Amino acid sequence: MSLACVTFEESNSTFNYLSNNNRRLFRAILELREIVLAAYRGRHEVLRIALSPLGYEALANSLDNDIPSPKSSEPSKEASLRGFLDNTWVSGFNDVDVDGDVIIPEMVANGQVHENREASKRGRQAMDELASESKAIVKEYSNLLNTPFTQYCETQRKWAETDAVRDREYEGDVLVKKLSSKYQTDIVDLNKSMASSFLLTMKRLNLIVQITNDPWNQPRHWKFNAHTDLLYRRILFQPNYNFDNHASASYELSLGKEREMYEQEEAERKKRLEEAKKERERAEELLRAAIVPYTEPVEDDAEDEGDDDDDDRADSDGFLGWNLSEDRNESFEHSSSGKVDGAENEEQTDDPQNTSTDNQSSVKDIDESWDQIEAADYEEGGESDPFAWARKFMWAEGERYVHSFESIVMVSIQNTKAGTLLLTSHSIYFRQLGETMDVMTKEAVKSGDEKGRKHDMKWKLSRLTDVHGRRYMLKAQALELFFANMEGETLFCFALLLIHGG
Amino acid sequence: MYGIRLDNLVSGVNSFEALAGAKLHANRPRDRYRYVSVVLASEMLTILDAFIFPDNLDASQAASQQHGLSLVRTTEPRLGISQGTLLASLVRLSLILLAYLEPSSVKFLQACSRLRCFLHWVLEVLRESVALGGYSEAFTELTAPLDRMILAVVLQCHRALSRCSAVLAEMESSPWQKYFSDIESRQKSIR
Repeated sequence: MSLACVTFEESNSTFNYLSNNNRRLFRAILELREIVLAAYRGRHEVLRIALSPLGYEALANSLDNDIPSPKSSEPSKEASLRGFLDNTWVSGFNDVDVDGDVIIPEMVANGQVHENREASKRGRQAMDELASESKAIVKEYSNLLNTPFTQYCETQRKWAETDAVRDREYEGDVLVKKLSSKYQTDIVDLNKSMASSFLLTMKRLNLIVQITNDPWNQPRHWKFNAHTDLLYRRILFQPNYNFDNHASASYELSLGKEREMYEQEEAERKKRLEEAKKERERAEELLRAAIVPYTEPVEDDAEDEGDDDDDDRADSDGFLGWNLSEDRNESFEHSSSGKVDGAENEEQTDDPQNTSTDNQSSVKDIDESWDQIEAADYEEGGESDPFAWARKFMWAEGERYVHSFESIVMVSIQNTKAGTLLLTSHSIYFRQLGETMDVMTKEAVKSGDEKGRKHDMKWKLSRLTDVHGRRYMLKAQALELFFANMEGETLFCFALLLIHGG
Repeated sequence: MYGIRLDNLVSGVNSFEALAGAKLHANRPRDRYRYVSVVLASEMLTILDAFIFPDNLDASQAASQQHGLSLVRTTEPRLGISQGTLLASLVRLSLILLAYLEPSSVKFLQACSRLRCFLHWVLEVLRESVALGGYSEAFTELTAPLDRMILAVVLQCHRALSRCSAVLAEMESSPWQKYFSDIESRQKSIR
């Protein structure tokens, strides 16, 4: 857009000149006058009604008086235009009335009174219609501009309510979650790779720094060489380039968690073992208390000659059968000693008879009747059963005879004992018949000595853990038996049985 | 308007260019919109000059000015019903130029000539409406929109004549040194 510029023709004589702007201005004024004249001539009814009487009269006067003649010269045309500009209609009627948003010029008919004539309000009405028309145009044009966007929004809304959109949203959510998880995984992998590369780099850097600073004093690790070299030399040590100090397994790195867990498990295991041990001891005590009235103390003594701790412990526990056990031990001692000494045995064999006579006199005494019955059984067994000596032990229910071995020598570290051996379905019984021979001196141990006493022994097969064939006197003629104690631990067996001619 | 695509072919018609040129009035939105409206109206009406004022017609004859009436007497639905015919829209655009262009500019002169042509077309349409309706009263049903246009044209011409009178008085009463510091700048303005 070109803006108006004002030019002036400079003249030395006068200031009366015409520039291009002046000519354009006058031509524009001429065009405007032609427009007004055409409107006045073509549609004067409109102007008569819409303009105020005074304004219409001024317009009519200005147009009627300044109609240019076709033969008029140029200066006269300019003068005519100047006269038109100076008339009342152009120079006047410049005031406006502002009524709300509508600006109404002064010449518009709005009920003005001129020469006792009141103007109509058709001009004002026309101005209002023009304003409303302009507003309607702006509103409609805005709607037309917004219609495509509204249609697009409506289309999008309808499309958003379809199943395809929900499916696509679901697929989008799944894809987003998948990508998110992949992103997290990639981040973790990247961090791991960066950490590993960083560690390797630092290791390499430390090595380089170490070599650079003190190449002759770098720590080297050695390991045993398992192979010979090319010259068949066996080099004891060779450098260990893959040395690992197992720092990752240290307490500081693992924060002691594994060690605490291991210690806790160890403590629990020990606690369980102690509880199991106590329970076994209780069961053993109950069992011992239950079998004490019979021959279990004898069995214990027979099982282990040097194992007197069980009896002592049982005594210290103070169970009810202590006196009975003591009596039974004493009675057993008498019986065993009676086997060693024939005179005493005869005396002991006489005692049951005396007691049987006493029993006939006092039948109601339970302890005495028990002794009598035991003695009677023993007496009766001694006459009919060759293994009556074994019957004095408490045989288990259903226990039966399997085999018997004669000329058996039981060899221990200190001495040897000759005797017979009875194998039943539950136990092994040994009865010493000969003298106890000392291993070193090859002489018989004195009968008064503790080691020289003769004892009948019993071992339960349920506690037999191992049986190994041994060579005795340079011949494969011996068996070594291993028995376990009640705690399940294997004892080095003291019994080494030599079978002569077996 | 009738299928001629003007995108990027005619400079000045694109509203973004007008908005870019309106940055001088960035502080006053109303002035900026007015600037944009004037630029767009001027450019659009300039495009029609080739159809309205062809070179092979004699502009002095009144009948030769009516040949373009058939182009603009219809209603363009894409512009809206309330706009009326294209002729009414052209008159409105011309009134915009008449109201805001400088009176001594070339485009103002062109706008006046164009408006004169449009007025003749309006009067022709009014004559047809009067003949069709059989009455000559103003502001009737058929002639009311164009009658309002004639009233608006007369009022705008009155205002434009007042501005022309004021500009002429200023030009003739003030020395040129008031507007130009030296002769060189004055010659530059003339070019």
